[in-house]
Amino acid sequence: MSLLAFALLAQSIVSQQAMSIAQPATPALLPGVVRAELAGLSISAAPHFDYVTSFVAGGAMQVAVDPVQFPQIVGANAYLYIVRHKTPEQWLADPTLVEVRSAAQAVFFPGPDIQNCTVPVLFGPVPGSNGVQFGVDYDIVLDLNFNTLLDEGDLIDGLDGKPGMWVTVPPQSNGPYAVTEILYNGGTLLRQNIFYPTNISTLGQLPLVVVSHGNGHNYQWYDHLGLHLASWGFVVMSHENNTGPGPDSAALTTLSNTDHFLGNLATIGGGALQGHVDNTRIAWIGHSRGGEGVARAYDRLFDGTNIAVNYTRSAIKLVSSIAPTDFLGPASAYPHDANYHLWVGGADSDVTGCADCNICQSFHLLDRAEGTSHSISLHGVGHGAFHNGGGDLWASGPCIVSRADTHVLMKVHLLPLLQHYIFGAPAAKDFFVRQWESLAPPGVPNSTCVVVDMQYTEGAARQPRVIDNFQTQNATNLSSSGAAVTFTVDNLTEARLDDLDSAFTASGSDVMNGMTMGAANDTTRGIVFQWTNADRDLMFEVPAGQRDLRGFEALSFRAAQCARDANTTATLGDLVFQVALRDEAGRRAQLSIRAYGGGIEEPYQRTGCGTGAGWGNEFETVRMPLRDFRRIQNQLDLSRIDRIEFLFGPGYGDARGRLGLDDVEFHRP
Amino acid sequence: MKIFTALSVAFVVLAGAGWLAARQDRTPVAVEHPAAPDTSVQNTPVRALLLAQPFELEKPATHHWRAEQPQYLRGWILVLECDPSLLARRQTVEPLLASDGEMLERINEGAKHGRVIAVLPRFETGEPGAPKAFAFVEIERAEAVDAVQALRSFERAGDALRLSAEAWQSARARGGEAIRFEDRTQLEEHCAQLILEHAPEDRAQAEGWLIPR
Repeated sequence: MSLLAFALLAQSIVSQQAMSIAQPATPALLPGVVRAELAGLSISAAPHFDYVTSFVAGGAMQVAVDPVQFPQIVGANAYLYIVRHKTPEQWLADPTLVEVRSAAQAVFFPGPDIQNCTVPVLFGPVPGSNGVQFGVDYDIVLDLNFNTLLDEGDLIDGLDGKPGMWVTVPPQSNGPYAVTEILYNGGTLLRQNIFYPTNISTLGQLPLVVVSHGNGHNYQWYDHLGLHLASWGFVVMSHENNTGPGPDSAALTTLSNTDHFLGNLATIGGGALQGHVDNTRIAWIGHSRGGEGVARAYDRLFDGTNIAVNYTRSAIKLVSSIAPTDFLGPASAYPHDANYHLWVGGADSDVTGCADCNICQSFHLLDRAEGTSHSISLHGVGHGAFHNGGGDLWASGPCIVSRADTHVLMKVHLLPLLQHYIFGAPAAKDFFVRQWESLAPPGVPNSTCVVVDMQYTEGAARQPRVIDNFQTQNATNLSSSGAAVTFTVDNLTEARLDDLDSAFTASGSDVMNGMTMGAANDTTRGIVFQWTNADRDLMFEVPAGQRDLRGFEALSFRAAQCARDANTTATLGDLVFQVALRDEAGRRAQLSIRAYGGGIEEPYQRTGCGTGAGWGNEFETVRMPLRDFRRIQNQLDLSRIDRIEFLFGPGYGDARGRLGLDDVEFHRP
Repeated sequence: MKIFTALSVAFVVLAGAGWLAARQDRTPVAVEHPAAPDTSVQNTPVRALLLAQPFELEKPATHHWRAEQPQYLRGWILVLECDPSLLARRQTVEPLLASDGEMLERINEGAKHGRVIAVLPRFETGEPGAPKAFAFVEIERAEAVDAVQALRSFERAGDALRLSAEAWQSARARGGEAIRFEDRTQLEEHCAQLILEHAPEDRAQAEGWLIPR
């Protein structure tokens, strides 16, 4: 390294200390080593690079150095090393750089901007397999002095107590374990299809996943989930479900089968599972009436109307409903504080989601959840595609996705979900907080028919800073956090997220047309508004006392295009706008949401449920890292953010649009 | 009183013999029944009663389709022929089968050929009363209904299949003698055999019920 480079490096370290909000300090144990975000993906809009946590082996992976933060990098050469993660103490004991690919990679950063300081990771995929652990932890090192050691002047992503990145295998891949499948007959409504690792006797206690089928379905129709999850170290039990008399009967069956299974491990499968099922880590997955049933089962535990003998409510780490009905309404189809997850197929011709059928609107359950809640919506997927029992897909609409492709999509999403809630796997969260476009693994169906929208809202336990969730302070000029809201967007209305008539036909009077997040006796609220060929804005003041965001990671909100409205149908496609943060000194940083997955997806172009094309309004969550605002305006003071600005119109993205918006909040790491 | 006692003893002995025979015959064996005569098939949603067999249980079972969740010890095993278009199982509201004022426990889907195996619980003592009519009823919600709702729903149902004495006798003849089961699970295993015989498209369900205990 040249003297000039060293001088620039020293200057950088000094400047980093001055920018203590965004820049990590030089590790005390390794003087001169510079911590930096390095691993990520290039994006077409500012800030032009997304520093992310997780990658999938064989997928895109890049390294970038931001010359605004590290001006010394401009014109520098280095060796790029990807090495297994080590703690600072381990690095101190052995600073040797051991490349995990075939060789370290020579890289050059011409600058002057980050687009020209971005390099692809070459020399073969970075391994993502690490036995049963989901993801392999790595540090990324730029060896600027070419001495194959981590030492003074080098840049490292990963020295702040966590790895620089995680690499996983494609989640649809089978795990390391061979699987044994058995059928068990405990008598009426206690017949079960059970999957577990064949070598379970050597594996200690494994978590339990319970699957509760839907009406007219069969407990042996979930092999695709059972075989997959058991190969990753879960015990999966799919049980006969009493759905005919309704979701409450199904709930009782979920409760009793879970209890019966845990209480009869000494005999089930000849006792092979005895001592190897962890009754403190359980996930419930239900389909259709069974999907409502698992939410009702949790409600029964919460209300104390059912007492389980062999497990407790706190053992239920996740409740996941596949295309659930909503017969029971807000008092009973109610996940309370559970971590709640929802699957919706856009082409579902049974639980249709149409405005004329309240019991068919699965999203009701999501918006009742008070814990961390999320959803995945799959255009073109029918009701029957979620199971493997064959027969009718129960699908209606264009671009129907096959059962086989649906199962791949289910595995891709479900494994990280369980890894996160059951094992706390750090690599998993990216799979449901980043948009599908950002982390679709290699090997997934890549047809243009595969469109995936995801929502993610944090529960109170995660202490999000909610600026406006529209649940209180119902005046349009006041947020739920009590601060001012100003706007120039047209026809802004705040109300329950519920289509009030019986069709999705565009209607000037039904302002919440296409919304199916709540029914008449639900409380979920949000706003809708529009703009037409003119720039418009919507601004949320951050209340005094809540403006220090240094402990937060991202601005999060959910938005949906409003189906069949003229401002939506004028240009079908991802809808784009911009978001700015302003500090008390008036400094602003403004980013396009296009950077984070392309924009807000257009509605699934299904017809029926009135006239026109476009099914229910599908919310998707956009999370914008706060550090990205700092990267484009490094003087932005994250300790004094006083306003969030949403900017719409031809000057900021799409010229026209009609949008639903909800849950404007900041998330912690 | 003596006559009644003697009849009761005789009934118990006969039922016990039937139950023993049933126990011996519980291994899956397809039973040949004569085809339903065309004259018994009506142009109603429930088109015909093909088979009716009385049963008894040693241990009570719960009638889950009734809100009161009553327990029963006897009833009828039925095979019905229905309009297949009404039989596809739905997650949302679907038409339910009822007889007179009582909900049937529908066992299989039968949507391909229209054959449905069902259980009609009876709560009276002695020989279960013969059903008189069958219909599809509309219940607005998927939930167990109470006795009053069940009766009213049945009364509202149009196009009930009203059994003639001839049709009933024919179905009874095909059903054979009363059969006694240890519990609901044995009853289900028997119904699984009927699925294999009358509605083989629902074989997966039957086989799922016939796995060894």
